Amino acid sequence: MALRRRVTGGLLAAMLLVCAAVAWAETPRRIAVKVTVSHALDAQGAIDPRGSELNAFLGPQFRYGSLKVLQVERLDLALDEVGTLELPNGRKFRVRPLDIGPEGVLLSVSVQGTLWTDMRVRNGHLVVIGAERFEEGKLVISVEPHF
Amino acid sequence: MNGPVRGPQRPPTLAERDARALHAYHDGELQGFARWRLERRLARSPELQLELREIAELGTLLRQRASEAPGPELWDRIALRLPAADARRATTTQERGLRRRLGWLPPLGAAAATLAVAVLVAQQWLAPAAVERAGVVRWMDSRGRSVMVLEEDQQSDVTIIWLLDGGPSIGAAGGERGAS
Repeated sequence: MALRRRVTGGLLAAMLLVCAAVAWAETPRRIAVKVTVSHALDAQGAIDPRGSELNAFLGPQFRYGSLKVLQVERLDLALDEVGTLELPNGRKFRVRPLDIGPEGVLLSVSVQGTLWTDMRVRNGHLVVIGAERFEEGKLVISVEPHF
Repeated sequence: MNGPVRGPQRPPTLAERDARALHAYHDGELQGFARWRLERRLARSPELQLELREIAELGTLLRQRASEAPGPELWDRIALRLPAADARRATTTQERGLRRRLGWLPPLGAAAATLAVAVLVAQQWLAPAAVERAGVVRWMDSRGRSVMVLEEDQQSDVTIIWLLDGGPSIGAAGGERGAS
């Protein structure tokens, strides 16, 4: 009797697991893309504390006087869904997750009229795009997908 | 409708009647006039006397055999073992029932094990080939502007795509992948 109960319990648990796995497999994967728009200025000034991590990467490679974070957005996207952000220069930044594979998410990223690229990005990997000039500096767009 | 076909009822022969009477006499079941008449015939008939002796010997033999039969202790011992045998039989029956009810589990288990092995083999042999590093940037169109790409390296876990503003490249050594 106890064995029968145990077997029945085990079977129920297995069925629940299978149902959960099927539900998980059928649930469309969502990708959270953190987009940070910063302004790297020629003039000497402060480094925005929110941009300290970015400054740590850019500082050794490029010369600029100050860094200011203008915009931080978190786009929650399904596959093939396009997330759009308006940049301070009036142009559109668009990101579209195309596929998720073992190497990461394939993102199609465009800065209107300037750049269009496909990137395969690992979970949490940071991609920094130094876009066009804006006022007395340069727009820097950071993209960090989480899935 | 016809009933079952029976042969004609045959009246017992004289010998059969004598044999029945002798058995009844031997067993003490013959009483009264029938007993008196049989005793008279026995006294006059050696054949009937012989037959009565044979019946008596047969009875003695049967009693001897009966005395050699298992005594009450043996039956007690057997009876003591019966519950255990019953319990064993019940267990076996339960096991058989369980086996019959769960008979589909072994094939399912085998299928699950096969699937698990297949998944492991696929992960072991296919995944490494797929995870071959190919860089982050797979394709790019910069509308004719120069671009510097710094892929991640040992020092930094970041990929930098830098549009150049017409001046000389601020290039860093290594990692430059292309410009268009």
